[in-house]
Amino acid sequence: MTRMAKTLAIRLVVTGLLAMGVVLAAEGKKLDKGILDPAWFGPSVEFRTTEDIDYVWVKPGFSIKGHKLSIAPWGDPALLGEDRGPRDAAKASELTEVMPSRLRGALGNTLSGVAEVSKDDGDIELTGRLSDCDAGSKAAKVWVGLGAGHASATMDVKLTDKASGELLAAIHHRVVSVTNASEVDDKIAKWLEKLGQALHDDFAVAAKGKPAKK
Amino acid sequence: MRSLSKIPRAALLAASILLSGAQAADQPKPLDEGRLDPAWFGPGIEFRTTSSIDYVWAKQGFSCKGMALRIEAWPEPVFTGKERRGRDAAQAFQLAEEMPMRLRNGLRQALQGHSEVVSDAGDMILSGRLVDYVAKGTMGTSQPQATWDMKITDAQTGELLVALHHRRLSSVSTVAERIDMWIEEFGKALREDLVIASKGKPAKN
Repeated sequence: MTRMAKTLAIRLVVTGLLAMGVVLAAEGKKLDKGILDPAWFGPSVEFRTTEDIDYVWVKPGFSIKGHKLSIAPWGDPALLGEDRGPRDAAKASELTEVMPSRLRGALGNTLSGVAEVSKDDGDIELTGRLSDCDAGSKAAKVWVGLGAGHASATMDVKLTDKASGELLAAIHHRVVSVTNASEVDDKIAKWLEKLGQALHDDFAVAAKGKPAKK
Repeated sequence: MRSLSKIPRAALLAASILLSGAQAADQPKPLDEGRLDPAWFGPGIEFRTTSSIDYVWAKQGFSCKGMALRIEAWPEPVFTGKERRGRDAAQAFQLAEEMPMRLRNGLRQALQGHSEVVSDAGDMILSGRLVDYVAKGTMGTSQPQATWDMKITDAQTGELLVALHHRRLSSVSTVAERIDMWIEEFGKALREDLVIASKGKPAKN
């Protein structure tokens, strides 16, 4: 092989490696450090970040008014965060069980007079899952402080047309309990109230949000 | 005769205010600021207030000794008093689902050797509902609390045997922990055939 051919081959290899690096780097950048898995929601979802909901997408023209919302059981937790253990899995399972009833309460209250909320039937279905859960440590919260031992729960929620299965809204949000004065359960209840208010306003917050950056 | 139109308007207004005031005074004020709705229990109940149950009534001669008590599922909460927020409703709905299990576990323990606690059939039926809930973190309104109605009826005839209305406040401990403590007290009162009801003071409107 001539010297020129060798140089060309080396250049080609280097260029190839660089190009591969760029592709891998782009793929490595995922929303919410990979805890937001777009595949769970489906294609063509362009999330936006807002103050009350970390990531939200809504189908243009969506409105909840006059509809009946059916709150379905939640799917199994995914726990996509790092270093999760049995305590985190146990808390995630516990939350998975109670989320539908909490949602019925919070949304029934905030959507009163606008839409109905039901356990069994409806024309729009709401379902969700825990995509991450950190049970935290009460002892660390009390004795160490400064955010140590904080607990968190990250939720995926979607609304679909029950007849066609079409995705109408997609939400990904994390609640964090930093101090010993609150539990992650209290934080979830507060956020569900905010979610209900946003739904009451047909998720107008989504339009006002910023495009989510990877 | 002086026509009605010639009576000063102010005098008419004062008279109507006095009349409506007298009518309002005649009507009994609702118990527990409206949270206790007597219609849920039925007629003929004279609630009494006690130290362990806020409002309680028991049919004369009530006893659950040797009986099987069935704990029924609770319906979705109905806020009979003040309007509450979404965060309160979120936790209230969860608690309403959990209450039958809490009651079954707590009463099974407290009534051991006295009565049986069952999920099906039974001689008596214990049913209930949540009528108010304030979640932790609802600042500036009230302390975290839960208020519920419960009744025990004869499984055969449907006759009302026991009616109660109670509120549990929580500050340091959780509402659920405080409820478990109250269920233990309630179990002890049931063991004693709710004699506390006769010792209580008549509930004032």
